[in-house]
Amino acid sequence: MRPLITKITPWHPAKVRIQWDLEEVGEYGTFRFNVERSGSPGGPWTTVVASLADIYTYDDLLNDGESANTLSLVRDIYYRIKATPPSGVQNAVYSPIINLDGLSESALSEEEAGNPERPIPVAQFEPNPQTGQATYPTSADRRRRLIKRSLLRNAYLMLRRLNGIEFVLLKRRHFGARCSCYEPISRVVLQSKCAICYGTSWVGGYFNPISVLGRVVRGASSDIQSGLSQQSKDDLNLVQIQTLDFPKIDEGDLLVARDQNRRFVVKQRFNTSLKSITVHQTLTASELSRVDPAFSIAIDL
Amino acid sequence: MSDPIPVQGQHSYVNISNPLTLIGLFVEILRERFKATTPSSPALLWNWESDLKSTPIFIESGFNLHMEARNARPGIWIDQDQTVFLRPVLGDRDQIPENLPQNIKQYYALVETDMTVDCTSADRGESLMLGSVVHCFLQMSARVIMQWFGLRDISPIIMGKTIPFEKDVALMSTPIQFRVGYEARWATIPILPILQGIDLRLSDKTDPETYFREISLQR
Repeated sequence: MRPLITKITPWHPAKVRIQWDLEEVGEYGTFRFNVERSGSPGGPWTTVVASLADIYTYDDLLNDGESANTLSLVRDIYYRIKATPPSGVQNAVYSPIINLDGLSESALSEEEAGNPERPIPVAQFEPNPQTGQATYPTSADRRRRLIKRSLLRNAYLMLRRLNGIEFVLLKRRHFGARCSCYEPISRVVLQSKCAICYGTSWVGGYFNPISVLGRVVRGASSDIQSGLSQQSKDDLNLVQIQTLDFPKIDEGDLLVARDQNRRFVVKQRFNTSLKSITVHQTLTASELSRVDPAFSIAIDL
Repeated sequence: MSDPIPVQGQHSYVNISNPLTLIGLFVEILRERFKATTPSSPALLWNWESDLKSTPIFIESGFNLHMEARNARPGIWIDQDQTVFLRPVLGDRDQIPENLPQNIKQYYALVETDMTVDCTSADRGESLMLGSVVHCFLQMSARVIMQWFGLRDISPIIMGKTIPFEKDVALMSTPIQFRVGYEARWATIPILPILQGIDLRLSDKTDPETYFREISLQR
């Protein structure tokens, strides 16, 4: 049994419609589904609805008190489906994770596409290439899908073997529980060095860390500009970092270069596309000061 | 009334009534206010520490070239703006002594210096709260500060609007402005012999440079 989210439709700003299906079903009876939501593919996950019996569509009204929303152009929400077969919860399976754009979680393999000697393993980038089932609901065209697979695979191999370095991605929270340093009437944060929210106003500050591969396109450590401001001397290091298309990295997210513990805040993202196929994303990020509260976020380096 | 004197620990070159004296004075006053040992009710969210690596707040002089911490925030930055001498006080010679044998005349005038305190943070709320604490503290302590540190006057304290600056990341700044008045005293010594010496050097025609200068000046 393999649950798969087949379509996601955001009806801004009121709701998000999620549709899913089951493949390779080997049992007979009632299947139950949980819809789970997060601000990052790394979780933690909140169960939006539990035990939907043989229902394959759900409208997430974003009104469960978690304050999840799609109000900003740089907000992203991730969904996954937990499918429980009639045989019980011990056999429950999760679907691949999908975001509001329909981009799906995928693990790229180094195997060669189309070569039976080096097949792409199931549940990796292309879960089931033989059936032509689109992993990306918005790009159902098989030709485009294959072009994308090839481009992404090449980009992945370049990062993996040639010039990529490992980053830890911390997706910034935009919903959840507000921190005690947040003033709810005037909606301001009163303590930027808060050890609970790190100045984000949301408890925890960031979602769970995710490892991503990326390469520094422009602005290595030697490009730091130091200048005098009205307050003190400031160091400015704006870098461009290129990563694959998933997960989408937005303004305010943090990237940590794992080998050097250099931390960056993302200021801007633009996609590199070929024939409207997003190949990878290029981020403009600013290296954080060594006294920034983000350095107190514990990360396994 | 006395003159503002450098606070303890300032460099010996920082003279009495020097703008650096004032900056140092308010840096020290505000650091003391934000120390953990200074009672506050309710307790402040930020307690200044001298260790740059651990302090939750930076309290420093403005345009700080030599502080090792970079892009530091939240912070309180003390600086001076324009300084002006008002007219020297004339009149009663009893109040302005004159040494007749040496012809030394003494004066004093009021000096006014505009002070700025920028309260900065990555967040508007924090910047505003910092500004509010500084604003109230200075306003409510002005008389005591004047009396203790020999200042002639501290004007009403003005807190400005919190505005953003785009730096490495956004920086919010709440400005506090006020004017400090203090007295400056000085003495003039007889300078006629010095002026005569200059004239003699200029009229020396054995020096070609002086000769051509004289032509150009049409003397």
